[in-house]
Amino acid sequence: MSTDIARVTRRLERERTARKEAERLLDEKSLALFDKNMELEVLSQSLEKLVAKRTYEMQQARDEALNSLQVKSDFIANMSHELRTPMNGVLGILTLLSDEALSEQQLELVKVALASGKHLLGVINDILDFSKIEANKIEIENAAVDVVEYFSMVCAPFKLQAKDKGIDFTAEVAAATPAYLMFDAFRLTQVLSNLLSNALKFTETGGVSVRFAPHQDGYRLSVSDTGIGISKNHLSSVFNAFEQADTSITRVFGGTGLGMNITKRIVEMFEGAISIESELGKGTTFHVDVAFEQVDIEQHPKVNSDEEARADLNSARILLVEDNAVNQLVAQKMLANWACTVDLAQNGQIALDMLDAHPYSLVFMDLQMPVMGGIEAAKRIRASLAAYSQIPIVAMTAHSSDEHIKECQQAGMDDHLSKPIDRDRLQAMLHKHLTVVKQSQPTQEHVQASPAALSAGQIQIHEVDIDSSLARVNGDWPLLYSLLERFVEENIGIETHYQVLKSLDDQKAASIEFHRIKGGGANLGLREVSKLAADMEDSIALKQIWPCDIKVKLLQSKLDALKVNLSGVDNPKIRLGKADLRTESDEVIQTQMHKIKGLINKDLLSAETLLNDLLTCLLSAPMLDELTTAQKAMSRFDTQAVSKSIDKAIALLG
Amino acid sequence: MKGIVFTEFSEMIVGMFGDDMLDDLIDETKPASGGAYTAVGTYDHQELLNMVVELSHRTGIEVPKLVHTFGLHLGKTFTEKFTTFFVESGSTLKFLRKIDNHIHVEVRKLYPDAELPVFSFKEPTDDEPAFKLHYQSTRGLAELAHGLIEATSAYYGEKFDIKRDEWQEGDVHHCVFSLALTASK
Repeated sequence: MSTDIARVTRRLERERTARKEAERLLDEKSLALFDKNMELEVLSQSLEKLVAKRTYEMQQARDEALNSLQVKSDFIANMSHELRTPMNGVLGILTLLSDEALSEQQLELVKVALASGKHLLGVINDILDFSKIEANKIEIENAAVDVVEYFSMVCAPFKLQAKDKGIDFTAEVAAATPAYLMFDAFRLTQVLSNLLSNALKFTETGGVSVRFAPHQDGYRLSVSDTGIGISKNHLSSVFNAFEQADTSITRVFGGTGLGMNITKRIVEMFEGAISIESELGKGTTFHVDVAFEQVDIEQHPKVNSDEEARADLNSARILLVEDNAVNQLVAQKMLANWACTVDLAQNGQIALDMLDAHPYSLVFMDLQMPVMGGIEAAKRIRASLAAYSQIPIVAMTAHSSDEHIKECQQAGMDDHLSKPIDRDRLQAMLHKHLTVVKQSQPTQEHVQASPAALSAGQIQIHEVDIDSSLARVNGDWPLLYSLLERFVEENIGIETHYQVLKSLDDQKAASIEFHRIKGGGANLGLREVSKLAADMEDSIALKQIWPCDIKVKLLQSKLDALKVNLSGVDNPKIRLGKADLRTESDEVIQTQMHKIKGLINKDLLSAETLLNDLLTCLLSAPMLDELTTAQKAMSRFDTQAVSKSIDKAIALLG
Repeated sequence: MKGIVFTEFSEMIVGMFGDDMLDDLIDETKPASGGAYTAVGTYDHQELLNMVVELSHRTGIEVPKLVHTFGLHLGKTFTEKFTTFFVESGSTLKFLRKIDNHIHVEVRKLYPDAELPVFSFKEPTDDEPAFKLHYQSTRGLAELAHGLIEATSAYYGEKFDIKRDEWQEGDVHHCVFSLALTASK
């Protein structure tokens, strides 16, 4: 038994040792596990940091890439603007030149130059479109379109080309096609024009045909030709950018190799598909399958017919707002074709003055101009309380990017005419907008209460050649008065300005300044002022010498004198309005002035609208004086001076 | 050698010969560990061999027979404790193919200090229709391996005719088991 107890005791001892050993081992294991766990945590944290860092780096890289893409697309948009502006001059002048009496040979040369210029413009437009598509900047804007009319319009020039080339041309819209469909006419025209110009380009005998018809669930536009065809090897690369079926094609037929790629991408934007059937030597057919939506005709009545519109052109008075001399010439001459009256404004501010003085039917508005640009001018026209606030405004600009067009629309402009100005599109624009004006004629009645033009000799201002300057503005005395007033206003600080520029030795700025005074003075009949400024400009620009101060003082004194002399003449603008002035109580006037004061630093434009409205009230002389001063300060955006004048005006009421 | 071999050996002794036999073996061989074995520990394999030899003395059963029996016992324990390995394999040969590149890999993750025998295999051919499993170890426990293989085939309900070809190269014992399937479920 004792052995048994000893045995059991040993057994127990063994089990106890085993348990302790197991516990020790488990402790050891769990400690090791804990350490490993910590290591893992640290590792995972550092991995997370690494991931965050990499993600950040990738975001940076992506932003940089996007940014450089933006820079690239901006560059191309700007470059295209820079290219189009001179093209406007070249094409415009060539168009005008081709209307002159030229010998046959000269005419031929002009035609070639014109065709080459148009081709270059096409290439520029292709590159611009391509880069816009690359940058996803093109949006499809659908509108209801009269299908038959659309196709006959778009095909018309190609019909003529075909006739010139001696090949057939047929265009057909299947009878089953609805009268109106929703699509982006501008973009479809790009597609159709590209397909048609290719078809015509590559077809010498036979003909070209266009067909638009319902097809499966949508519509199919087919353009077929009996031209040179495309070999099987080249069919697949037709839609690649910068590639033509054969490099020899480029040599023989020209082109950027972008047209078909642009076409395909536009079709894809329509969520459509384009396909080719072609046999070498027999001809090619392009099929464009699209799913345009049908429109209820009732909702989209046709506007006036061309006939009606045409009658209006002769009586129309158009305001052309444009600072560039070449563009002025081109647009004026083109507009002269339709015997409408065209007045010219150098910038937005002058345009506003002229609109104040005359009833116009239409405004063509450049965008980039000194003093006041087109966007600002359009906004002010739309914000004004005068009847002309509803006048149609057509933006005329070499900036044709979607953003610019959008900006024009937001500023309240009705339409957009891209430079170089195309005569047909200009005419279309005239028809479109002058018809609308005719319909809204009654609203224009009271605007026409403008003063009768003055004949020469009725007004005299010392040292102003009124006769010649009046002739320049078609005898429009209120306009001339406001132009003179503005000229004085702009240049009254010339002596101080000159001293500042001289101290900075900024000859360039001074030269530009005198150049401006020279030109402006001459236009307004200020011969002495213009001559003095011309002298000083020459001295700086040609000899790089600062003219002596006496000359500047003399110029300053002439401008001072002009200011005094001008105030001695009745202000035709004020006299003009007197009959229409309304009477308001002091309380109303005071409330309005407080409103203006509150708006000055928030919304100067609205403040100006209110102030202009206030000026149509019957006011005491000192009050009118203060408010006029405020109005002038506003046009200089001198908010402090405006505040001061309004305060004084409020004080006048007590 | 891993503790589970010792604890299972102890279990088998107690089961077959009673608690006193285990006490006697430990008392007689005086293992350095004191015979206080735990499944999670690691012990000198010589302690096991000493006990087997002592058991053989006391029972008159030959050492190889004892080791073989222990292999059967240990194999059965494995099929109960580590069922997953057996279930996922599906058959004896599939299981044997996995010893080296799967099961022992997992064992090493749990016990980095484990000293494991090497098992390579050769697929049957037309000339040699038997599956060949090649055991290599400094421990010389081919008999244990044999028992383990039999326990495994019993788990799957398969019967094999097993032949052994053994030799020694330096410290390393080699044994090639040739397995020919004679019956299956």
